[in-house]
Amino acid sequence: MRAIEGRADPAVVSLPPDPVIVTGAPRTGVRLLASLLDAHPALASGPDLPILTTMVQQWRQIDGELGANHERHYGVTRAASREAFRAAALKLFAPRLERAGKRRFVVHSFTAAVLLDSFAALFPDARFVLMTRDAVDIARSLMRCHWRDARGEPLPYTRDAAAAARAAAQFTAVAALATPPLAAAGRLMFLAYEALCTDPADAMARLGDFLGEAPPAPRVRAASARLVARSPDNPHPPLRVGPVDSASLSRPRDPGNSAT
Amino acid sequence: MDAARRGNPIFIGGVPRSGTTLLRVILDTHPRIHCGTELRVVQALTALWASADGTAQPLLADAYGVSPERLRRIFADLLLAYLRPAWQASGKPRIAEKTPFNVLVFPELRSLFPESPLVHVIRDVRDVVASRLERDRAAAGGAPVDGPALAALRAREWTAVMAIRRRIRGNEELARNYFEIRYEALVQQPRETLEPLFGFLGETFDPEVLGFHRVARAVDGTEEWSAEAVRRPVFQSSCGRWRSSLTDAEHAAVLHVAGRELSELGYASD
Repeated sequence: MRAIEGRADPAVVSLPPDPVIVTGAPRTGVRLLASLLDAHPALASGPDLPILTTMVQQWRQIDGELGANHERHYGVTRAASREAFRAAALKLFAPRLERAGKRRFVVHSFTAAVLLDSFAALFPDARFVLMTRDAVDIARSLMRCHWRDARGEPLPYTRDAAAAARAAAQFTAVAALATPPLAAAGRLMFLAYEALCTDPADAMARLGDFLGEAPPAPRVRAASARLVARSPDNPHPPLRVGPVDSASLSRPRDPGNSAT
Repeated sequence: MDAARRGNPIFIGGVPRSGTTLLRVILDTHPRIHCGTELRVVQALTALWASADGTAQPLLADAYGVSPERLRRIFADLLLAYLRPAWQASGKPRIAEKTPFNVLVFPELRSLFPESPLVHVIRDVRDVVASRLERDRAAAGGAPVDGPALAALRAREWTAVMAIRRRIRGNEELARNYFEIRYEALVQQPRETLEPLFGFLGETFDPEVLGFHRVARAVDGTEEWSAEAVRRPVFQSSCGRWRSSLTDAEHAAVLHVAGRELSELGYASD
């Protein structure tokens, strides 16, 4: 027998705090940073979860199209609608945090970069790290990827230099639109991939300050690398295990041994 | 009727213009059931859950420790969050949600709310199309409308829902807690039609529900096309309206698309 859903409020369960969201264009070190953060004693990450982006978009659509109707006829305030979606999303992370004995989840998502305002609205206490990188290097790196769409066709921006450059520029441009208010509110930190690789200790110190945590170690651990790199769509190569250093900047991409 | 079913929301669906609003105000008049205006999130949230349960479930279970049952509860709670304030404010022990296209996700709703009663309102496709064309023409604002083509389109929507109906009726688990009600029977023999429905819901038929039109309640013409119609007592004049509303070409288009299923449902194809 299934439990009764009932009209009573569900038992109050403690939700984890709003997540840290690491985002940026593909090939900017998003997974690398999530992997570093996963090794932190207070933070845990996991594979990219596209359903989270779908939930954020669905909440925005319901809020925009039906929010007034829900307030008027159902007594569901806009804040309550947001809180319902926020709680649902956080409940997805809670077991992973419990299992790891950690308290704060790190979302890593490329698509969050183009939905920064929606993510920020749904998670009002979230902190964002926007990874940046030289656009030419992003395009070069994309051209070395072997990503395919759902039909198995190579993605255009991994086969065409102009498409790769456009993708890099568009990602950055869309994300940039939402960054001023977040940065002004102290909720967003820019982190350049180049800075992470050339002076990882300084980058981690700044990141620790921003997150209010002890600085993460600038070293990729095997367990974190395996977990974070898992993808439900494209087969990412595993992250290189070991210290982050400037060699990552010039290292030719080897599908079996890559730092980003 | 067990306690679990009583504790779960009742979902009502049907092709638009099938009488779902009439059924909603009847249920809302019952002293133990609240059924407000269309929430319009059931389809989206159920589809969202189905997506999470389908493509994301292996990853969620393995890497995140979210079991299928835990995932179901997360999304059931999400949907209930939209129902709960009105449910609690009504002071009634049960809630029903009527949005016509709920019917499109009845199979998924069966999994998301295993004990919820699902009520499908069915109406003669010809009357459905006649009513929808009237709305379509009003929306066109006097611009010319290709009646037969539009009639065929609306009839296809009806047959799409009938395909879901076949799927439900052909599956024992899906058919559990599923109940069909005919619009024509509802307006011609309301008591005889409603008594089995309330029995299915585990409630006693209360004759007062037929006084639904005397109850002041929130209805909004912009959100419910039948808001005005349900301020009157049950009437039968909309049964067979297609005879005076549809042109011969429109009627032929409807029968071409949906004639076989119309006969299977027992509607005379005169």
